[in-house]
Amino acid sequence: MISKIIEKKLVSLQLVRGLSSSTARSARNNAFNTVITEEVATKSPQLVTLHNRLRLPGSFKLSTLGRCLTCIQKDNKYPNNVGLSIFGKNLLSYHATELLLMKYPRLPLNVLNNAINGIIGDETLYSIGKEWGIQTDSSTAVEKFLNEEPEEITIGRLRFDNQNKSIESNLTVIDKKNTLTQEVAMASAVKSIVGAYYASSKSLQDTKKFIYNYILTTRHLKIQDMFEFEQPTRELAALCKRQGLEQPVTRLLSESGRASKRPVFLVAVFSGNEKLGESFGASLREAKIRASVNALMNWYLYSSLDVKLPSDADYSRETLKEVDHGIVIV
Amino acid sequence: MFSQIIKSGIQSQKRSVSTESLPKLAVKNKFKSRGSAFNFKPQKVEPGVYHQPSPSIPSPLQKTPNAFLPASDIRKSSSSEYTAEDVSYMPPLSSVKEKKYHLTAQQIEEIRQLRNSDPYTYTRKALAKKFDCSEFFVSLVVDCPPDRLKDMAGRLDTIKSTWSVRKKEAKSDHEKRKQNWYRNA
Amino acid sequence: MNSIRLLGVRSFNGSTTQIIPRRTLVNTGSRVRGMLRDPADYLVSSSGRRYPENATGMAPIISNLKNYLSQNSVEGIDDKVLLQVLTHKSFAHGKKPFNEKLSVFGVHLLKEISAIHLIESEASEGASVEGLNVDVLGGTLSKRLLHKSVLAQFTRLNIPGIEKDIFWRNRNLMITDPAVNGENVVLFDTILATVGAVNLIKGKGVASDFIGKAILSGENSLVELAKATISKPQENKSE
Repeated sequence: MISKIIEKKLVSLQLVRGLSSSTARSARNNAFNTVITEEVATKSPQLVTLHNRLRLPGSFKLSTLGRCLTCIQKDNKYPNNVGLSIFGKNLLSYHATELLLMKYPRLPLNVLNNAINGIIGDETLYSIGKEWGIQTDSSTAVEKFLNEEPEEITIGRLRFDNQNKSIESNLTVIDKKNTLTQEVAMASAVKSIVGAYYASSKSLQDTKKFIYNYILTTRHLKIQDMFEFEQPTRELAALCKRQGLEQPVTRLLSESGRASKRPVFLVAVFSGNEKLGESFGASLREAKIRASVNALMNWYLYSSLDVKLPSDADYSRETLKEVDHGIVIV
Repeated sequence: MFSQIIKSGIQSQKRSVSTESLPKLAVKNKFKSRGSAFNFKPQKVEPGVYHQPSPSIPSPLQKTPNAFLPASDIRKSSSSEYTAEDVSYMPPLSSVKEKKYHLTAQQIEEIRQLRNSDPYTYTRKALAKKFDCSEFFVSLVVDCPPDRLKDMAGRLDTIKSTWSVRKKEAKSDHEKRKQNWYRNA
Repeated sequence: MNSIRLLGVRSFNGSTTQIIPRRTLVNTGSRVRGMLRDPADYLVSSSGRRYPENATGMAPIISNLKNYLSQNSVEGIDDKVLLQVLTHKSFAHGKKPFNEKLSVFGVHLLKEISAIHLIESEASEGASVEGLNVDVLGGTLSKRLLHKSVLAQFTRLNIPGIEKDIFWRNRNLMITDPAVNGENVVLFDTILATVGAVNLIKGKGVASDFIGKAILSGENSLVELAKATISKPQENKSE
């Protein structure tokens, strides 16, 4: 089997060399590449389908969509999507940050960054791209040559130099010379489509609508699972001091089976007569720590009833006197 | 819609078969068909919206405690959900101590010197008792001398070496579970 | 040196909350581990300014930033918010409201608006998309634009004297190089927090106009400063 693989590799190497020498281009520089023409792009079934499926506006050209699917490659025939994907990422990260910060104004920065990554990270965008039905091009240059694959079929697929190539079932070659994995490549295509959406519509409001409809509202983020505290009891005490609340006191609400193998204690943290948090545990210490964690999450995950976004039309909050203080530093 | 659901739920609880028709048991027992809970006849529920909060601890995403709401929030109420009497029925886990801040710089220097000179006599506990402060405060003032730290770690290792395989597993499981306390998992 | 201050300590006593005055020892001068520090000691910025406790104290500190904003037709931001913009996380162990998240909010907006500005105005060798030269992004200029030293330089030139208004903690007063002692980072956070605050209070429309007018155009604009660093790149090696 291995000899077969080597043989296959050798043949492909020779053929690729023969083919690519004529089309050798610098990967970074888009200057000398031939552009995908609208004429060819209209013939591509994948591009037309994807365009319709995403209900992209008429101003969004099929050739632009084809460019979105061209990742950075060693032998790039067409201009790649690097700039477009950076632009798309800028648009996406602004809206993700805005949404999270307006919804949860007290979110700690590390949780915020993780949450942004959860909404618009490469893994998420990969699954979104898959759901959009973007096909990946897994055939080699040799296979394309032998099959006489027409150009319009090639440009309708996501083209990239895959770092992990599965050559046979159960066999994968990891080639570090190739920079992209499937996830990163797919994510860059999704980001590029967002960037190209602005380029074709020239409207930030329309792009925002597209981002919300197709990316931000399609995933449920479990933000309450992203917290971890090092010293929750101290942090809560520091928070209460900072906010001018009474010192927190942990009180026992109920218990069962104190002398048994499986005791359960239900405790709550109070500041004066105000309950800050509540939890349970198999020991009083566990219950106390969990209750403090619950209280801190109650603080950090505060959300106002009317969430308004600065990117909305006629937004103004001049009456706002207080912005969130920032995290509690112990 | 809600009242309909409630109604249908109530109807399903009504017996459709009379207990009178059940065959009589040969052995005498204390079951009384008339007074039994099987003959549950609920009172009529008036139509309207009923709030039935879940018996679990509210999620931080659902409810923010009153004390944590900003003054501008309309949910903020001036009075607490609990009265002082309610709270008095809930015993604190440890006695509520006010911080004293009563030690002078000279006394703090003394704590440091004592701890560094003879950490085996002047343990955190001993110093806390001597200076009427908490053990935690002693740890804020001075770190444990490295020699003692090493010695104590060695003693702990000796103890751990006597543990059985099962005990070791149980301890390591406990450590893993403990991480979840801090993550609300 | 010890001094005794009477601080009101809240205590829960039966059904009522009382304020009980108590003797609390605080320490001034050199730090003593474990002792409460005198707030008068640490509520001072690296430049020697005292953190204001009331509105009258606030006015002279925020006036510089306020003037800069009104020059660029941004008005109506509360003084407290402006003071928060000028307070870095390092100040007073985070006891006063600081600008960390405003700055993050600002950086994301600045990235978006400056990207649009660059692809609309800068020429590139690559093929454009609908007239936008998207290949400018990812190049040296777009990276330099949001470089800490470039943004710090921009802040110094456009809001002269702002480094004295900012509340932050300089860890080592012996180091004078702003790239090493943290001044660049603090200035970077401040200008971004300004953008973030304008966005939060006035909305994205006003904030985008502010970025376009005040930051991306003019003699000392960010773009010009970034271009200047590309021609002599060895200057910014320290960061």
